[in-house]
Amino acid sequence: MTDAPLFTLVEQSIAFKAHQVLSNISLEIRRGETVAIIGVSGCGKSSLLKVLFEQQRQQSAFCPQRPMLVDSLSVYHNIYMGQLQQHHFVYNLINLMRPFAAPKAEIRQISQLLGLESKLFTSIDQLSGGQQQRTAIARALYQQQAIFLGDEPLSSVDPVQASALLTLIKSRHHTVVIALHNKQMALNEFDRIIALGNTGILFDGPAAQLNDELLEVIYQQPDAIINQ
Amino acid sequence: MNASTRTTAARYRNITLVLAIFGLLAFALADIEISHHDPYTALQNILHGLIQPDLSHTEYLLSALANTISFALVGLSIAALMGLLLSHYHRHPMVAHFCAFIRSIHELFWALIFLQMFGLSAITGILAIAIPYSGIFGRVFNDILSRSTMAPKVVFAQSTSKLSAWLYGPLAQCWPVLLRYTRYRFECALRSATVLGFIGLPTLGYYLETAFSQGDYQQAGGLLLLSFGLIASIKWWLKTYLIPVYLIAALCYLPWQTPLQWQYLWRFVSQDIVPQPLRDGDFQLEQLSNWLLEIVSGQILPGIWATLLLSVAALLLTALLALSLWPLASRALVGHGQILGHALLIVLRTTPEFVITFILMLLLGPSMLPAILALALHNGGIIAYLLARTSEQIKLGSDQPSGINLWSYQLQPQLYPSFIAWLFYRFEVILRESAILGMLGVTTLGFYIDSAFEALHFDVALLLILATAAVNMAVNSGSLRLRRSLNIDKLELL
Repeated sequence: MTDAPLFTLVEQSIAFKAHQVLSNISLEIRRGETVAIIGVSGCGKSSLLKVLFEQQRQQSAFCPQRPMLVDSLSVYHNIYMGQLQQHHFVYNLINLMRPFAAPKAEIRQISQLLGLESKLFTSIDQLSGGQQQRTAIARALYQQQAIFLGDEPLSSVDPVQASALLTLIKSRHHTVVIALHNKQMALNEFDRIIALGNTGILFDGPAAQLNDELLEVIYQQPDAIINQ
Repeated sequence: MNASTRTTAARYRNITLVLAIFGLLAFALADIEISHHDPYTALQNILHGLIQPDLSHTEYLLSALANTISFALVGLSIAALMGLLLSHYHRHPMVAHFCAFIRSIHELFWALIFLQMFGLSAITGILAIAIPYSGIFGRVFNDILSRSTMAPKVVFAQSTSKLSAWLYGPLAQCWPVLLRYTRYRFECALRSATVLGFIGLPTLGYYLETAFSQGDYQQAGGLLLLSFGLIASIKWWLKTYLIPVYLIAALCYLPWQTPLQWQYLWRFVSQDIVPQPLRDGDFQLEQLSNWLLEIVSGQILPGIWATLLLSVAALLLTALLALSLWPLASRALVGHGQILGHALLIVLRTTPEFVITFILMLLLGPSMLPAILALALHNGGIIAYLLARTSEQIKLGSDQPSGINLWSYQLQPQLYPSFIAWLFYRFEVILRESAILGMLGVTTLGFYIDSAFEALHFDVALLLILATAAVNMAVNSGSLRLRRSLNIDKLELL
């Protein structure tokens, strides 16, 4: 089977915020890649992810930056939201009042992997920021999609946990694209890195080729374009 | 020459000045005479009734209580469901206008209409509450749900059905706010159900009116205290998980016995409400226009004039009361004394304006004064309560002034935009209520409507109700436009 790219952008411009634009973005992402998107805050990482998400909505799970959880509902119900489409509205309605056994068993399993088991029937507003973020990841995992897209999904969990969670995410999706702040994690755990500057892509290549000098440029002189 | 003042505070000052001028004009033109020959004896009688209430007629008291709760509960449940449905389509202008129309007609007017169709049946009471409250819920639920930050399209799988996404997304997220608002409206519905007794439905209001008109002040006092207690104790007996039980009990209890008389219903729709000149068959434009002109000049215009006078006068008094009462319930200003202030505001807030107007009329005689006082007490209490609550959210540093300086330089200026917003919003409520108070004898629109129903001129009554609705809708849209221009249209809900 010839492997067509999952995501393709050809000289595309992406507008975000009021006036800022990422211009002439070209990239391809293929099945099996793990990609980290890095860059200073406000450089357009979230907007790029949204464009990618639109291209593969059917087989992508998206984990947004603000966790977008329903505060008054339990962890169980928030994770259950990942598979709303599997059931009839009436089933979903009853499940809201009395959780069914089958999804409860599945979700309990996922919550174990994320260390949320003891909080399964605690409402979101009583959880810490890290626990909330793990719930959002669990909801994305429960969608059981082929591709995982995440917008800083690990920013509120500690580094050791973050690494374990990332391994979990990678084991359940063949392709992973994540925007993140932690550059060390990007270098250590991802095959490929896309670095964004104020107006476009500064670097796109294997993590191994991204050395400290280049990183300094990315985080300090976001306007300089480095041609790979 | 001095540089002209261009502060926002100056803008609010101008608005206040306009309000004061119109209010004083209204007071000058309104009939606020005390016509009762001996108000003090009447007051003594009523106070005596309140101090020594007679609650011995348990058999009808309990049934009146059960009827009041049942009408409110069933009517409001239907309204909440309809409101959810309407809120879903509220972005369509047709639906938004429909909601505005049905809520612009007061529940008592709806009740008068249904009375002709269904008689003194449970349906009359339920529909009278369910219809206007559906319109209210339709708009407010839409306001609440549209502020939801959930984006189901992002976090749910693509093929998720719209209904499921709505259920687990915006609805689940806003559920606590929706519940809180519905609870507040239940309090209003209890007041509405009580007042429905004044036109004959077997709720607390019916027995209240009977007791007062028979001069039995001890019984009346008992009923009055009972209706206060009923509303003040809601949070102890209305548990969310008990609602289904209450609802079934209410449906069983309500007086369904009155058989539906289809021929009355049909006669009302096909003949009674058709304008009289159109009924005979030989239609003449001149007759119709004369008929219309007579009603407009003889009833609608004087009715609107009186309604506006009453509302504007009541608005000024409401504003004064709210401004002077809220500091009593503010911790920063009166310390622990705020508990007493809060208690006072809760009593004012639970006061049903209609009932208080009725009592004040007995005391002061028929004029606009009782209506102005009752409207101002109730609405001033609500705004003061909201201001006191908002003032708690203002962060004060340790180097703040205290007492009068704190009030005049920090709290009052920061609260003023909210105050103006609530005042204009309450003006819509006051206007709606002013029309209704006509049924007690003030010559507002309600007076003419009530007279038309009594004379069995249903065509005239319906025209007058439509005119009332039109005035309400016009004032509402004007008030909303004004609030938008001041950027204070997003109200925190009670």
